[in-house]
Amino acid sequence: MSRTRVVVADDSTLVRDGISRLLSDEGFDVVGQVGTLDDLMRVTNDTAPDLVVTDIRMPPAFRDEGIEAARRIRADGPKHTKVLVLSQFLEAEFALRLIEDGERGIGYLLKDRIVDIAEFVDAARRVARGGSVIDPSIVTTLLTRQRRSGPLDQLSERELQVLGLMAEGRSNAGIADRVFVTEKTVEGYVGTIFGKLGLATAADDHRRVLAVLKYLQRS
Amino acid sequence: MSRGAAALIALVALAAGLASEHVRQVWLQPLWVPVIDLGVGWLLVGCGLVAAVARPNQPAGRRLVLAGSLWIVGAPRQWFGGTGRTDDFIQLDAVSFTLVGWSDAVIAFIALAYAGRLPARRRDLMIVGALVAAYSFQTFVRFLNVFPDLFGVDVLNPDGSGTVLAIADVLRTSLLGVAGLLIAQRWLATRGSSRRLLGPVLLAGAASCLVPLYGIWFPLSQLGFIDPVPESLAVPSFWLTNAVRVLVPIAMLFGILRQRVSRLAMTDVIADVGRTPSAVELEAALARALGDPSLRVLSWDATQSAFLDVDGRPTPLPPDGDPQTVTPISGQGRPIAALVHDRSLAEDPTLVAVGVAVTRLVIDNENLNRELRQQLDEVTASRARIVDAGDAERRRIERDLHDGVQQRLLALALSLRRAGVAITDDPAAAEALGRGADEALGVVSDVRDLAQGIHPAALTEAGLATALQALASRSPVPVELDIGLDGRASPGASATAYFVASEALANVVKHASAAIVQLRASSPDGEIRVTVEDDGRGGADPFGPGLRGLSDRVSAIGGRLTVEERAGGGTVVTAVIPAR
Repeated sequence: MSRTRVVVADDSTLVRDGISRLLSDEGFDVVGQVGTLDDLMRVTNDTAPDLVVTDIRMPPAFRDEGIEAARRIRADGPKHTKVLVLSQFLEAEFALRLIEDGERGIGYLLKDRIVDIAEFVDAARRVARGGSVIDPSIVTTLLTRQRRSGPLDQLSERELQVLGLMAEGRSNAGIADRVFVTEKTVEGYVGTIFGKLGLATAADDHRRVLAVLKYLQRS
Repeated sequence: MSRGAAALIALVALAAGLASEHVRQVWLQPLWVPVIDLGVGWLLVGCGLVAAVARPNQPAGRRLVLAGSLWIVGAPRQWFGGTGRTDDFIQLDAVSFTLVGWSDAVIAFIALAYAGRLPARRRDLMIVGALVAAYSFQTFVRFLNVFPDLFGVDVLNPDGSGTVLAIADVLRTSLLGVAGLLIAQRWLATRGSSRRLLGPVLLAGAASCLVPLYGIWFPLSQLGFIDPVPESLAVPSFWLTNAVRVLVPIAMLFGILRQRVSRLAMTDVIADVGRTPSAVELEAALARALGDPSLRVLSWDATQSAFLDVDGRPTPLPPDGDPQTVTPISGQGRPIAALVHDRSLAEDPTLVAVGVAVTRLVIDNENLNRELRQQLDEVTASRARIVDAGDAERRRIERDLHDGVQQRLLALALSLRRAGVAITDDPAAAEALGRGADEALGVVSDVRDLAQGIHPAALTEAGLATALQALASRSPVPVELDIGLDGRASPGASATAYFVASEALANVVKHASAAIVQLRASSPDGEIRVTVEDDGRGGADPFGPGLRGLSDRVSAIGGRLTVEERAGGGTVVTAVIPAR
């Protein structure tokens, strides 16, 4: 199997180098390192990587360049390029926007997660394969809020745990690993949760994340 | 002249009048003669005294007193023949006779010089000189006539003395007529409020000088030029000439009364101007009260070094010799304003002084208001700049933290972690490195919280709407959001709106015991409107330090903050902020 080709974008050279080395060590092929939105777009179009790992805030405006990059790549970048956005500060709004934006896998993680090497590399691989990864902290925030306003009361603790993992973008297999049950049992949980919340069953993991996040985001 | 002095003079005039009647034996005439005789004299003195008290700066009143005194001492009597006195009073009576007519000359002088000390025109001065000469001549001739032995020589042939007296009479009466014409000419030359103010006295003066021309008939008939006056005409002519003599004092009295009315009108001005103290109002009110539609209130503008009219246009002052004159108003050695008005208003300096005082108050008030407004504008602008600078500084610090410290700490944590993972043969060292990585990550989190408090990253990265959503999602009290922002707010306005929402939410969490909070944000007409409404216990203190600080912050960039009790319990905090 060929190595996953990745472009790393961060205006901090230290962080960029750190992420690049980490990914290289873990078997990724880092084909480009850039520090601005413009360079990211150019290098992505030139190298057509499998994955782009980008900081959200970069020159020129230091606002939401990472989100913008994801939008542009999915709109008219290389077809197979997936994007993992890192940010010092997470917005549920951004997560939803990123997921809504396209059919393909997307990642949105707190930047601190890079230090948890195994988790980070796992997330990068899942995104590269077309999965969606949403930072657990966003899911926690949304869950907390929804629990306060009621509709999640009908879910058991275990079901809530499964809902959160779904929202993070885990597949049934991934969830099964986490909660130490069989994939079959997870499927059962998912069916129950969707039934209780009145959600239509999603066609794939990506749509499932979208559906769950949208449900959690509504106020 | 003081009132006391005037009263004293009045008493003297009353006594002197009676004494004079006695000396001149006017009692022997039909009753109406002494009545009119005394009436004219006392009226002249009385009106003169009133005028002298009312307008102490004007000599006209004192001159009228003089005219009345001369009348009392030497009223004309020739039409009714000599006195035929033979007793002790004969010499006094004779002196009285020599002074006959002088009061007419003084009245002519009053009219020629009215509203001033001396006549302004050269020809008026000349006729005054000629009148003095003619009347002096007449007095001299009469003196010789009644005291023929004075110089020990019989200067005048007793038979011819009547002729000389008649000639002197013709001379002075004609000159009085000329003076009357000049007074009439002076009246014709006046315009506008000058005519209004001086007109009555000038017309009365002209009449009282011209009507006595009629009396020239007597000396002319004595000289044999015309037939003697029929008795049927003599009496009406007496009435007529005496009637016109009282015109000038009555006209002056009228002027004083009208001045009283003007002063009353001036109190209206003060009342009006007190209600709405503006230069425009003041000018209209002063023009009304002073009866001078041409009156202008000019204010001094130091930056342009020019007088400005009430509409703010630079206006030159009238040149010397213009019918309008300038009353300057200054304070602390600098010009403040000027009243441009008709010269004749100077007739009543008290009234003008009141006008000046009111003008000074109004202009001072306007100047102070303007300065205050300017200073307030400056302070408002500088306050907004300070807040903007503070915001910019917070953004800069947040960005420095984000781009510098946080990234380096993160890189450090990553390095430590990788080092720890790389060490497989020394579990203790690997664990220490792992702890180091966790520690560094903890610091990253702390720094992030710090930066978040200084300036929310969401505001920078995603704008106000998203930042408010994030704020709501973090709130322990459920928040209902209603956000319709057009995203065109300046960074300062966005930061302030966020600050309001975040502080108000924090207050709700801390104090309100609310079940739910509504956070609304909209951007109508170039403004941002943020409302935080809770259903808690209410009772927020708008002057407490928290809300006070919010209010200061909002008003610093030209917005306003309101704190209201919500119907049914709770608090509504609303900020309206210019989006700029």
